[in-house]
Amino acid sequence: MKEALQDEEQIRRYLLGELSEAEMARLEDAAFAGPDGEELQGHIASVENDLMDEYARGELSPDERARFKARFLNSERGRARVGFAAALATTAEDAPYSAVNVIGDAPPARSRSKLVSLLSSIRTTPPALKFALASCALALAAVAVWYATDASRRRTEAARAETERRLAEARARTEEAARAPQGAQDRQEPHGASQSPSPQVSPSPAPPRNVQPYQEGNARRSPAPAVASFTLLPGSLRDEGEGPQTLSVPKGGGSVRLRLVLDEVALRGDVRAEVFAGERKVLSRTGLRVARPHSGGLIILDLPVSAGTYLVKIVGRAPDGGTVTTLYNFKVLSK
Amino acid sequence: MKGTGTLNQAGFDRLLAALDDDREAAGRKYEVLRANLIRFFGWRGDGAPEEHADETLDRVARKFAAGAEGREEIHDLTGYCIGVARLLLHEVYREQAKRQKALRELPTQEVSAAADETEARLECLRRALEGLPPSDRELIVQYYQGERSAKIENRRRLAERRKVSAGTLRMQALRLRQGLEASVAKCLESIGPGG
Repeated sequence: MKEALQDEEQIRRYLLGELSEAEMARLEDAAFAGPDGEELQGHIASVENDLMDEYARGELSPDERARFKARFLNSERGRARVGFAAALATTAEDAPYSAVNVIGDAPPARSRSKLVSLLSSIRTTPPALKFALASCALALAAVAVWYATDASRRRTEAARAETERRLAEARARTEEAARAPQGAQDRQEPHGASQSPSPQVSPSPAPPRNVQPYQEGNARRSPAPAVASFTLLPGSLRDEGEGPQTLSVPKGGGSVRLRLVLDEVALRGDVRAEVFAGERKVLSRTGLRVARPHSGGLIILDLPVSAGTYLVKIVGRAPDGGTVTTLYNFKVLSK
Repeated sequence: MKGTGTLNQAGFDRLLAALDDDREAAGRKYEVLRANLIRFFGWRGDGAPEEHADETLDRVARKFAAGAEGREEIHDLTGYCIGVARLLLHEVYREQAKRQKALRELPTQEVSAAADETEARLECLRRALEGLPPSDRELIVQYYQGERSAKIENRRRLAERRKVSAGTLRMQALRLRQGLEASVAKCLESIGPGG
């Protein structure tokens, strides 16, 4: 296992151009002429895919990101492959996690040994007592199922009411901002700025049959009200007459979950966001948490939107103390 | 960089003969060789891997046409071609440095596709996933779930559940992903620009 990880690390460095010419030649000779050449080629292709996946998720360090861009985004084919990686990452995260998969940290080993010892003690219990215990367990399970169903229904209703309340508030604030003098600051209640990247609502029209949206399988969170999630990279402003990225929402507006991939520099201190709809500032928020700050990072913002052009400004401090401003823009069309 | 020129027929024939006595088998080996060269250039971050793979084979064929293969005693044709490819790559780097455009300074475009294209790609991927058997669909989705450190642990558990080695799981996921990429590319082409 350790050797496999070392191989992967070397392949990763090879693909990012961090090896010497001699080291690269050795790896290539093994891949194209060695006895396990085909297997090594497959391993290299697999690590390449993982790099694309990490880039799409904003998980690369600033140096890795710069190297990746130089080597993989310099061709149409490379860009298409990275686009596919982003789609696959979104789809994988929207799907329910397997019961034994790890979302964050792996569970501690001692929890397994507790289960093993419980099962052992049940085996040695007298039959009558076993029957009584089984009946109690069934009754408790029935009560638990009823309670979970009822709780889920109540949570869904509460979430729906909350969504409608927030949308109404957002519309009211937007209208108020339109009447307010220029430069007036609107403050929104902090909501949706996640501590870590939340599961997204896929913008695809209907979920795949056997791959359900993540929210449906996760009882811990209320259903996301977002119309769509939208990943924005820095400098989304395009040159040469190309328009900004566009998103369609139903008439009357909707809500979008923005995943703002931070570029290069890991922001520190009080990170602020300002969102402008045209000339008007529609959102101002401070104290934002940056997910994965060691690798550039990611900021999640939930934003009610209606038709128009939007500019997002993220301001923070660089490690050297200088101020870093990152801009993103997008356009919203009403269906 | 020297011009590519037209692939010399005599040289090409001698190159094929060096790959295999049977012309059809030689043709298949030629395609494998070309695919390996494309991989090589791609791994090295070259922006035009197919073009440079063809240029490499063209140069090797010209050497064969000149009868060089007898004089140089080429024992390992693949290794020889990779050597020619490395020299070509260094020429490419030198020319780019001369034009004051090192690879890092080449305009790199962020993947900031329009939302329409992103939606189309997601829809194509959804369709491609639906076309997979449930077991394969589950494998490819779970293989790419989780952040970096969690992903390593998830894959270990996935291999355990499926009772395969990590290497086998990796190859299974790689084949599935390559199939999905090809399906999505075809689907996007059929949709056309503008969704």
